[in-house]
Amino acid sequence: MIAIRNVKKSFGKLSVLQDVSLDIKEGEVVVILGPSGSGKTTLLRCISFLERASAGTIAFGDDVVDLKHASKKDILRTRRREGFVFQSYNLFANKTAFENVYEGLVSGRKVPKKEAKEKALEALDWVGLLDRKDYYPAQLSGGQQQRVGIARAVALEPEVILFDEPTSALDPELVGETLEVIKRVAKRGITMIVVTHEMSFAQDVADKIVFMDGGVVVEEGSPNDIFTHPKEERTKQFLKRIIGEFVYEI
Amino acid sequence: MTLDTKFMIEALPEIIRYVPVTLRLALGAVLIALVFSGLFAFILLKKVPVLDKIVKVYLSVIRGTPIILQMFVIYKIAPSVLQAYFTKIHSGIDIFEIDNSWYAYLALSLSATAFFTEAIRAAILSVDKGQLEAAYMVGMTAPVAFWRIILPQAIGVALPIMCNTIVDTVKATSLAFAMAVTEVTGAAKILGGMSLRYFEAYLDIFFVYLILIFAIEFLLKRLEKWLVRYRKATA
Repeated sequence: MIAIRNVKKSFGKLSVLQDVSLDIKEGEVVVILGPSGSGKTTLLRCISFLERASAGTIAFGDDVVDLKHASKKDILRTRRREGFVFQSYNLFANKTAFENVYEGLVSGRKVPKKEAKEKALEALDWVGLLDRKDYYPAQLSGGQQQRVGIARAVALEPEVILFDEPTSALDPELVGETLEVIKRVAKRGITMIVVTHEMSFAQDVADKIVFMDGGVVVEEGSPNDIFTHPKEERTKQFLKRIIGEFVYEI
Repeated sequence: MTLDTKFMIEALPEIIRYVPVTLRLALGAVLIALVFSGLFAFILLKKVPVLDKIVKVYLSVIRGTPIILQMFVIYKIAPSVLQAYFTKIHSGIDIFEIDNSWYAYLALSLSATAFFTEAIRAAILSVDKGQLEAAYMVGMTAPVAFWRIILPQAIGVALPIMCNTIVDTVKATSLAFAMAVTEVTGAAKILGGMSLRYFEAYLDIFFVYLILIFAIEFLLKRLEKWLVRYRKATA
């Protein structure tokens, strides 16, 4: 189990995360929803040390790491438990699709080369891009790049994969193929925390939905609870605003 | 006065004999500059206290003065300062026995280092920070991420700018004659002086430099193309 406790983060005087705690069970898919500026992305970046939190801890089982005072060693160990899929893909521009996955295994995780090669090819095949393995990111569409990004994270077999708005930068017609791949990651039983604005996807894939606003967790529950019986007024308003059209479709 | 083509042809081998000197000066200066500019760029990017100020002053001084002037200063002042130092520590080294090309290396590399430093610093900053974050998130340490991901891309960006500095350095070797180092230009001057056929001698080296620089640019362009092969957008 992963336990995130009392995470706080301010940028100067601006408090972005007030006091966020979250539990994620093994194999659970947690989707974080909320208006922009609610701190969703910052939460992911704090638990992966891409931002230094002002306070808080993350625990993988018994291994508790202080998000503010973690040493380089703590950070490396924690990051090697995590995978990260970025909004803007962030593929290594000088590496082919294959090398993007392979490099992480070899340089990031010290997997032996032969094994890394097999794993990288398998992961690319799994996201349906084996025939594009020798293409550089500049030669791939946004959707394909993001699938390589997902393959890169999955191949590492981390304890949890963090998705930071994985489809927000994509052209609308490419969102579908990417969401399909993410659903397959979820079906594999990999623990995931997903920040997204894709409501129907969230409802489909989530075991637990967390609604954040103003740097706090306003409400959490099953997709059914949140989408059909939201308790908090802020959740109701948000859903009404975002998925108004979507509700009419049902 | 007619153009003495016979002299031009006869003088050419004499001049070409000094091409290796020119190339050695340029290559030596570029290699020294590569080492120090890497170090200086690191100091600037990491904002190392005190040292970064010193590097900035150094950059301003070098960029703000002509290279020929820097050479005069080095050639006139450095020996006396060093001699005084060597005498003080009783090293027994006679400064006037040191080969003049060392002053040329010093002057040429001081200048090249300054321009390389700026090129490298800007190139490293040009690599998207997201890739560094991705490198961290696959579990790379900062040095590994730098060597495997950032540096290879930065070199591709820096090379066209550094190519200019390399060409400038090759051309600046012609000033080494001011420090009593005989290279291509020096050889032409001597031959011209002996025969009073300055124009022909200079015309010779005109072509020698053109061909030399053309060859260097050609090679560097090929290298650059190979380094940034990942940028092409179509398969």
